[in-house]
Amino acid sequence: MFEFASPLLAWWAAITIPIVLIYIIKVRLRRRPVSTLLFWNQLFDEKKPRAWWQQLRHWLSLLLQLAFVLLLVAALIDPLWSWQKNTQRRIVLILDNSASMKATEANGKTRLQSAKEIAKGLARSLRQGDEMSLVSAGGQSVVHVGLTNHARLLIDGINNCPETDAPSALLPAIATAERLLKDRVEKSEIIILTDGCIDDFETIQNNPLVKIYGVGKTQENTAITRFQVRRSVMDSVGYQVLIEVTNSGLEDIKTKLELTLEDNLVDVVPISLKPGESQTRILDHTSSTGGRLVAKLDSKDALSTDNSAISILPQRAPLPITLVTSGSLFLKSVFESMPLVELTITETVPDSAAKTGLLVIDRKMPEIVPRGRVLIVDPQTNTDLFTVGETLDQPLVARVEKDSPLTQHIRLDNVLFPGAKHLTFSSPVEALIRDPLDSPLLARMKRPGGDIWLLTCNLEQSDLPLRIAFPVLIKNAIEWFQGSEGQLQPVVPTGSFATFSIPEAAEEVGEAKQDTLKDQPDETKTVVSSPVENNTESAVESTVAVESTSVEPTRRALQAISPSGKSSSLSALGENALIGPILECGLWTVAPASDSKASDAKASAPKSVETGQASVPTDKGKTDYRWTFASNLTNRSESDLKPRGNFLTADSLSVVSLGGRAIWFYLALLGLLLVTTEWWLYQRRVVG
Amino acid sequence: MSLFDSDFLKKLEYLSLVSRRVFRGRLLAQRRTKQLGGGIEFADHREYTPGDDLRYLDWNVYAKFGDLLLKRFQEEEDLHVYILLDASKSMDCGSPNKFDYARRIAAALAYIALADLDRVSIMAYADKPLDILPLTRGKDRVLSILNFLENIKTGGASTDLATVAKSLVNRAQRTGLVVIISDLYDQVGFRSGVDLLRHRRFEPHVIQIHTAEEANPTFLGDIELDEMETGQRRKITVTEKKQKQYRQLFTEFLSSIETYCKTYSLSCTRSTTDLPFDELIMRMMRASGIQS
Repeated sequence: MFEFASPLLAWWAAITIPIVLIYIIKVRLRRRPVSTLLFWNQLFDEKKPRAWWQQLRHWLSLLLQLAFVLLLVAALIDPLWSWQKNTQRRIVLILDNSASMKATEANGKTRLQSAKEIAKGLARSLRQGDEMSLVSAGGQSVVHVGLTNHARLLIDGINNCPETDAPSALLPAIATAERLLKDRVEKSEIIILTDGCIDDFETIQNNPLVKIYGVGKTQENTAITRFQVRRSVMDSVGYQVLIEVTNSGLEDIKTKLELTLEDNLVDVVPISLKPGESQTRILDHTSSTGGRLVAKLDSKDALSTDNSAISILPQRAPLPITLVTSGSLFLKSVFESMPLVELTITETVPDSAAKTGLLVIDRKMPEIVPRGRVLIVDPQTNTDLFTVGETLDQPLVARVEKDSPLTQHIRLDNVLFPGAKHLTFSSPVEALIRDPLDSPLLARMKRPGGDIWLLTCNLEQSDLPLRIAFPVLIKNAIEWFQGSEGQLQPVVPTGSFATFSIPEAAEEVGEAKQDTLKDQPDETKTVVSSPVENNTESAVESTVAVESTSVEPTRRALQAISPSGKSSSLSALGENALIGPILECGLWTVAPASDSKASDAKASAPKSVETGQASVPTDKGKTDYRWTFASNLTNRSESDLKPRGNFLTADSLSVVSLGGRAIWFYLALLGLLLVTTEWWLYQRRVVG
Repeated sequence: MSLFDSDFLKKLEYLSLVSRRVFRGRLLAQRRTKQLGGGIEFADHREYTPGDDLRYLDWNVYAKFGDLLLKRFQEEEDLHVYILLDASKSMDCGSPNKFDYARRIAAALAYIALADLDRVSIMAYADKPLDILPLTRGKDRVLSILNFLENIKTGGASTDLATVAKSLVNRAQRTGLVVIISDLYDQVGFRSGVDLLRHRRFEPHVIQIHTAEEANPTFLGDIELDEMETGQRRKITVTEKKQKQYRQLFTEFLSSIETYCKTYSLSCTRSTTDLPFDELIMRMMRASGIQS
């Protein structure tokens, strides 16, 4: 029944011999002279011990001492149960630290805390030759501790395994575990500690290496399972909120859904739900100021993470447009019809466009095109950027770039652009509309001082202004100039990735840093300063993948600031970056690594939250930009706190680990108890 | 420091002045006994019976009332004080030393007796008389008594007061006051010895001395006890419970002595060695109503 890990240490049992000798020699006691034995003789002769155990009291002392020594020796030789004789077990412990593991049980502990206690017990029960690894599965698979026999390292790793708001990623974690165990599958097993709020139960259960142990019981929970905000199609300052609330508990619930914008109450919706029922609401509201839009359920249930959801409503600031014209009624009318436009009409061409505005020049061109964002209509004279040639013979629209945002939603087939000129540009341009001879009728030009949109067409002679396409074309141009300012950002579910564009003028990483990063592939996995220390494997918390459009993409140093204020460094190539998987609900901020104000701004949230992406040219020509996005759980599977299958109970795992300790521990504990008892009964008086 | 230093002698003088009467003596003008006889101090009358000495007939009463009454006078006599000092080995223990304490008490009592012109004899004993100071009188004999006491050593075998009492009875020329200074750790011998003295018309006075440690032992655990008188050893395990039982037993022992003394109207004084000897003497005086 028993095996011994270190049988040779049984020689220590020989120490009982000197103990017996010492016990015998102990007859030489402390000697004390007394004037008479009269009373002591009476005391001990007249009141002899009557109970049999009193006769053996000194033998009992010896027996207790011998039992203490033998128990210590037994602890040293480290007995194993028969099922433990298969030494050198290799265990990969997958700890589910997904959002549902944050649910609070009846005992006041979260499921993750309970799972950690069990995991620590398992780590402490490791024997000589056993190895265990710790992998977490919250949103992504992270190896916290590689295969090791060091229980303390494992316990530290378990303690440092963070809570996440992301859905569980057990399948990737199992794949990781299998890679860790692939060199020797026998005597290997994958132990999953989860609450069972997973949909891939059968797939996981069919894996012969996997044993799933469940923690937690079914809990009542009401959650916001969908939350998206979009701009209203009817109102430029309006927005629509899509909210879905699901009752995943076993009882009917009545609750209220509160919608607040920057802590100001916007709407309250009463909701009644039966078990398993979901309700979807679409709420229409208007706001030009923007801010944090928060939906919150007035509900106290086991999981609080999914009781609120947040989104960012960008501020809709009016766009200042300066129109330089000698009286173009069409241009004036089209800009005046645009909402959120502050139109200024003048006949004098300014030196530059307003800092955040747009300059529109009709026909009358200066020799040097002003700095800033400039929209040029029907140029008549040469400038430093282009030369105006002859009037085109057949200025018929032959080809329109459908993929460009500047020409979306318009149809201009066979429309005549009378008065269009042949233009020769000093630098490459992107022709969006061409005539049959490929001469550009509408083009855009990029330049460091501000982009240029150019249309060559005499609006007075053309029927273009009378077409629906004309205001759409102008609106596209304005939105293109504005970039993503004022755009609603989609809410990112936790566990997924978020993409964002980096302005071209963003600060670049210094040359020295570029050198160190040259060897990395284009798609770079960046280890963010992980909250988990002592990881033996890479702990990939966020990944930045880059969709590079330039030949030699620029590498930029960024930082991501989580809702809890943790800052993580990132590196990006090109202009589009990908960050994720997102593991925490709330507002995330991405800013240049040199932006020390980013974290400060986060710290002073919520009032100073900058919504959406902002690109602000600085005096040094660099760009100080910041991108904020919201992330919510909105996951039905995680909010449903009912186990999906029949798992092994975590209590049985405790039995396997004997309450979290090896047998030698209990033997040593029992020995300590015996020696304490012996001291209390026999030695305490001597000490006293 | 010697056993009887100058401070000790000053205390003796003080005690002597304070104790106007401790013992009854036979010397004229110094001590009176309850015996009525040829003294000079009138005691009472009794009826005349034929054969009485007519010199003591009270003629004044006869002249006034016609009654024949005989005058009785209190006879005065000097006292023989026998001090039995326990010098067994059991006395040589404790701090302050029990035997030293006993010798100081013996010296104090002897000094007071000599100062009152009584006769004093000191007998150091254990199982038998070890050393004897014969009867002596006069204050000038104080120094010889102190020398005698200072030179006594503990020794002998087990205490046997009965044997010693028998020896005293045989040696004593007259009866008198017998002051026994001992720890009395010999219950049988102690009683038979005192009984013998009582029967022979001696007046025993018991002064029991013990140390605080003897009354309340503090040691615990496994221990080997070594009896000083006999050299007998005993291994015991002392627990708090045993300690409590010991204290109870010792209290019963003291009570039994007290009861014995009360039964036979004996004077009994008990003290621990941490009480100053002069305080003990004063306590004895208060108990006998001599000094208040």
